[in-house]
Formats: sequence, C-alpha cells, structure tokens
Amino acid sequence: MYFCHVLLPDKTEPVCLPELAVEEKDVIQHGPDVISSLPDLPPPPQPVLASEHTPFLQNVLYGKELLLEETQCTLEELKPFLRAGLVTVRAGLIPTNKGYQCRRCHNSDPARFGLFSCARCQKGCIYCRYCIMMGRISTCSALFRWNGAPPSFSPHISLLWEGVFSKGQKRAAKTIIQTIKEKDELLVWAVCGAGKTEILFPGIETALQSGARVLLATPRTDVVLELLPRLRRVLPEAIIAGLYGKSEEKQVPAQLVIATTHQTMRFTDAFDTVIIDEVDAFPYTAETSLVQAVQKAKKKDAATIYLTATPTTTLQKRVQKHTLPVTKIPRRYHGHPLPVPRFQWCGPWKKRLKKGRLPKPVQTWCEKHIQSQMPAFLFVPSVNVLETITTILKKYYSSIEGVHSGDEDRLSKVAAFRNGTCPLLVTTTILERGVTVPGAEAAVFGAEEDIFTESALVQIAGRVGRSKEQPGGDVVFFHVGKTNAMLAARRHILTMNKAPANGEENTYVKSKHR
Amino acid sequence: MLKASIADSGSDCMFCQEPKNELPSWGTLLPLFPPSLLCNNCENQLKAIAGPSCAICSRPQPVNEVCEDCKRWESDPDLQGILDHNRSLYRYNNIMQEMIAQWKYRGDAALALIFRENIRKLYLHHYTGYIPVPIPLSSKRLIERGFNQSQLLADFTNEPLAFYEKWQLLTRKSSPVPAVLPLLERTIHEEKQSKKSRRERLLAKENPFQLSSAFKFSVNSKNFILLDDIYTTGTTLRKAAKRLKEHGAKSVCAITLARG
Repeated sequence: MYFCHVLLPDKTEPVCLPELAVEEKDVIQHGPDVISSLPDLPPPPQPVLASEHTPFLQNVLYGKELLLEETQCTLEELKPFLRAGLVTVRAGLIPTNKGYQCRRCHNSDPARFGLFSCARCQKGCIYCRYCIMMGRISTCSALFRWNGAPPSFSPHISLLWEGVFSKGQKRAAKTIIQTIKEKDELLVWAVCGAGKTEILFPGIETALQSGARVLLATPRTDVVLELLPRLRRVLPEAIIAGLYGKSEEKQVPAQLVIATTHQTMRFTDAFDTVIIDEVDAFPYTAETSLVQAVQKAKKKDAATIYLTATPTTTLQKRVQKHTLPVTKIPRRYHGHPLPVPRFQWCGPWKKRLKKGRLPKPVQTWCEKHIQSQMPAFLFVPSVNVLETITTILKKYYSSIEGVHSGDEDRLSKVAAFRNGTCPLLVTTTILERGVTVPGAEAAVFGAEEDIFTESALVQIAGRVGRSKEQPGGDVVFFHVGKTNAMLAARRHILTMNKAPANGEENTYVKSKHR
Repeated sequence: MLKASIADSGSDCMFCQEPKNELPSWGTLLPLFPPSLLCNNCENQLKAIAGPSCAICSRPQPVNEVCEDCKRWESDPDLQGILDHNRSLYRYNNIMQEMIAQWKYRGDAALALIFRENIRKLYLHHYTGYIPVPIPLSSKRLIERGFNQSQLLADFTNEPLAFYEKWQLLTRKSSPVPAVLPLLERTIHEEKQSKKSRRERLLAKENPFQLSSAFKFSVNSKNFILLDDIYTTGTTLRKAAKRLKEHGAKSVCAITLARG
C-alpha cells in the first residue's frame, strides 16, 4: 500500500492519498512511496461539507487515529471521504534523526523498533514494538483520522446521587467544578479512604452538561471495571464507555470514557476534560510515554485533574512553586485520623527464611491475627519471598493464602479474604491500592526493600481503618534498618493528620492569586 | 531480514520488555554464543518438550508410544504414513500462547528471533539434507499479516548462528544446507484454523494446498521438512505433506514451534 501527495483538480493544497484513491485528473506531487518517506503535510482545513450522513465513520474515527484494520473499512470505502477531506491520513512513524518516533505511543527508543521484510510494501519495514499489543505500526502503516464535524452529545444529563459530602469533600468538589469551567489544572491530594471517586461526580456532571467529552484515565483494569457500573448508575443518561485491554466497546462513541492509560494512546485531540486517577501509580511514573499519551488525547485547552493520595516529588515541587493549583483532603470521609505505622526490627529475615522459619515478631503478629480471626494483610517485597512465607505459614494454618500479579486465582482468593474464610492474606504490592476490607490490619515484611517506596508504604497504611465502625488499627513495618522511604511515609501520614480538616489553606487556586 | 531492534544493543527482554538484569559471565568476555533475547523469568517459563512423547507427533505423554490421535491418523488408508513425524520445540503453555498471539496476531514479526537458535539446532541435528518447505499463507492472509510466520521459521534453518557453529561446520566438512523452497501454495482462503473447533478442522476435507507451478523442480524421491508454528491436530501438516507425497517425495517430516 503506497501513498502519494496529490493536488486535486479543484484544490490548491496537496493532500495525502493512498495510490488506489488517485484518479487520472489528479497531479501527483510526491510518490507513490511508503507513507513515512513522504514529507509532512500541514494539517488540512476542515471541509465545510455536511457530514450528517456518515455517522458510522464519524463515530469510529472522531478523536482517534486508527490503523486501516481498526477502522473496519476497506480503502475503497474510505476513498470518497479521503478525497473530500473528511478523513485524513498521516504516517504512523515519524522519521527522526535517530530513527523513528511512533505517533501512537511516542516511543523513539531505537532499541524498541523491530525490522522485518513486509509483504505489504515489499520492503524492509521498521515497526514499533512498544505498542505492538495494539496492532503493528510500521513504516508503511497509515493512521486515519476524522476531519469533519465532531459528534454531538445530549447535554441533558443529571446526577442521580444522594450521598453526603464531608466538608473537605465539598470544598474539593467545588474546586473541581471551577477547574473544569476554567479549563485549568488541578491536583486533588486526598488521603486514602477520603472518597475520591464521589467528589468527581459533580465535576463530571458539569462538564457533560456543557457538551464536553471527558476522559477518566486510570492505571489499572480493575479500577475501570469497578468505576464503570458506579458511574453508569449515577449518570444514567450519559453515554459511557469503558476501555481496557479486552473490552469490546472500542468503537462506541461516548461522552465519558473510562480507560486504562494504554487505551488512551489511540485518542488524539479528543477530550475537553481529562481526569487522571492515581497519577503516581505504576505504570504512570515509569512510562513517560503514557503521560504523553494523555497529553495527546486531550485537546489543547483542556482541563486536567490529577487525583492521588501520594503525589510524586515532581508534582509536590510544582505545588510548592505555586505552578500547580491544589486541593487537599487531609481527613477520611469518617473524620478519623489515619493510622500511624509503627516500626519493628525483625533481624536478618532472609537468613531465617532460608532455614524455613519466620522472624519471631512476624510470627507472633501472624498468629495473633489468625487466632483472633482479625483480617490482616502481610505485604512482602517479591514473589519468591511470598512463596516461601506462604509455605511456612500453610504448615500451621492451611486457610491462609498468598496472591501475586501472575496468580490466576487472584480474584477468588481476594474474595475469600473479604468474606472472612481466609484470615491472613500474604501479598505483593499489587493489592496496595484500591482494596477495601473493613477492619483489616496490615504489616509490611522487609519494609526496607527498594520496592516499598514512600507512596507504596503510605498506600499500604491506607488499607487500615477505612470503615466508620473500625476507624483505627495496627500498621507495622517489619524491617532490618529504617530507610528514608519508611520515615518519609510516617512523616507524610503525621503531616496529613496534623493538617486542619477543613481550613482554607488546603486549597490553593491560581485565579485567587492572580 | 529480521531484527529485534534497530539500535546496536538492546539490554531488555524481548518479550516482557523489562531489563534483563543478567550477571556478567565468561560469555560477556568471550561472546561465542549470541546473548539470550529473553530475561531469565520468561526463559524459564518456556518448557521444552523433553522426556517420553509420541513417536509421531511428539505429544508429551508417560510412555514413548504412538498416541491415540496418531493411531487414528495412521488407520486412515489415505493418510497413512503421509507425515513421517513431527518434532515440536516447546509445550503450548501460557507463555507460548501469549508469545504466538503477539507474534502472529499482533504482528510482532521479530519475536520469531527468540526461536532461531533452537530451530537451527533441531534442523542440523536431525534433518541435514532435508529441503525446508514453509507452510504457505493465502495471498489475502499474507497481505493482512504482512509476513508468513512459517517462512520466518524456515529461513532460520539456513542461517548459521555464531562463530562457534561456523567453525564446527568447517571442521566437520558437512554438506551445505539446502535452500528454503516455497514449494507449496495455498489457493483456498479459509477461516483461521485457530477459530475452528477440532471437529471442524478434521472434517474439512478439501486440501487448500497445491504444488507451486513457479518451480520446475522435481520432488521425486527427495526428503522434505515442513515448518509451521503450532501442531494442534496435525491436519494442516498432513494436507501439505500429502501434496508432496503425491508427487513422489521420499519422506516428509515437520518441525513445529509448539505442540498444542
């Protein structure tokens, strides 16, 4: 499949067309050639043509850049739209001086591009291996996008939610609405268990009522699955799509999109409001390309809201420099302070484990919880440690379980823990976020390991005391030497507990200081 | 022409894209063997077929016998002895399934490189002198996918590995490996095999393969080795082998990546 730059008979600007869509009267300026070898064209103007009669293509392509396979159309079907300028086409890989950059995932690391001999273009084709799971973008692939009018959505949306906000939540919700209206940036810094999801509802409602499209990006599929039914219930009139690796709603045009960060890569200039959940969580900080993906998905003047309990140092610095407006919720929705972790030295545990024994303090802690039937999380640094500890504990207590990310029975084990048949759950850091078990306590085994960063430890401490009935609880870090991360986590929690629950100083908004 | 990266060196695992974290060894100083493309974790999950297996299809089983499925194949007078035997490199476990999905369906062509060494070794070990023949794709599927996965595997039989093997070849003065011949054509465009049930696969009677007319090459009394990605029911390989045997091939064997 080759492409050309063509001057159509009645136009003054050249357009990029597949060879197959070129007709006799057209003047070919470049090509035919592999699309990424053609020079870049300036973005074509939006045609004045009416496009009401093509809702299908509009729905599939608007705000996205898709490969031909993903459009569900053949080139013959796209030809009239390409010639009319309603659908435009760009190269998937942009040549750079080091190699290429992928237009979908922004990968430009030469080590992440493969080479194969392509049957489509009959040449050696370089392709991006970074986003290969979404389909191959190679030097001969073109990305199609909609250049006509945007689809319109009904602004008649009303929120069906009857919960009551705490004072902190109320203030945050108000700031969010203001940010969305002013298309500004905002960091919502709310402790674990503050009720972060609910405070978004009024903001999302306002955005949808103004006819805007909203993206709620989250790092994990589990969260998409949890949020989707909740939002559908409170916003029954809105068209909501949930996008994650295996979902089937990819072609649904929606005014509210809840997506994993990977799925946001397909969007371009699509959203007026972007809400990013757990900004500091894996894989956000690790993969800068995902941050770029969110940047690409939103329109140039879009409101951006970051949501987290543990902002990264970069975000915190921006807050200190007053370049990023912030609103803090230092209290949980039930108003009780966060449980403060205590440190417990447990000796060289690696040696003990090799001998098939647990360090004494850990063993006492586990036994206490198993015997009193009080649910407890034991966080461990790696899958290997997890397996060793699970086998040791299983010798005495067969009902305990261990879960890690590769575990196929993960969901059933967590469910067993929730309903109390499993008193103690040994887990890696996968359960550090989003899991709520009333009355649970938590311990970190080997808290000095690098994997337990400040944010991980704060999140783990945040598993405890989440219900109104049992707002307290024990959090222990078993260690062989305190680390900065452990101290910083404790300091973080103490500062949050000290902050006045609903003081004005918790919110800093740019416009007030202008 | 197949490369895992266009950079000079890549230190990440080719499959999970995490850093490999390898400890330096003698191999780092004296690179006689190419470095592994996978990290230890992914490498360990691949399970080679070792130990007792079916003598015909290499299905892992408690004893070295012909398995029930192969007995059924052999009892059919039309297909008896059509495929001498198949050797598979790996079990079709979770990671293999993921790898093949990423390779074939997502289009990560270069992922085949993971298996290059072992395909070549298996070929040299058991099938020197056999002519490698890839299982073809229909032209429509070839354009859709951009590459033929069996062709990539077949090409590996012709690629000497590292300095070490070249030296071995020199000293042993072994005969050169015959070139890959794309002798077969797929003229009928079918639904993907992986989307059919076992019954549907076995029931499909017509043979989608033909001997390519482009080659003026006598198949008569020569040995052939077919290459394909997965052996599931063995239908595809037997249909391809049938065409070669019909034209007088002496022996037709198969190398497959995974035994499904």
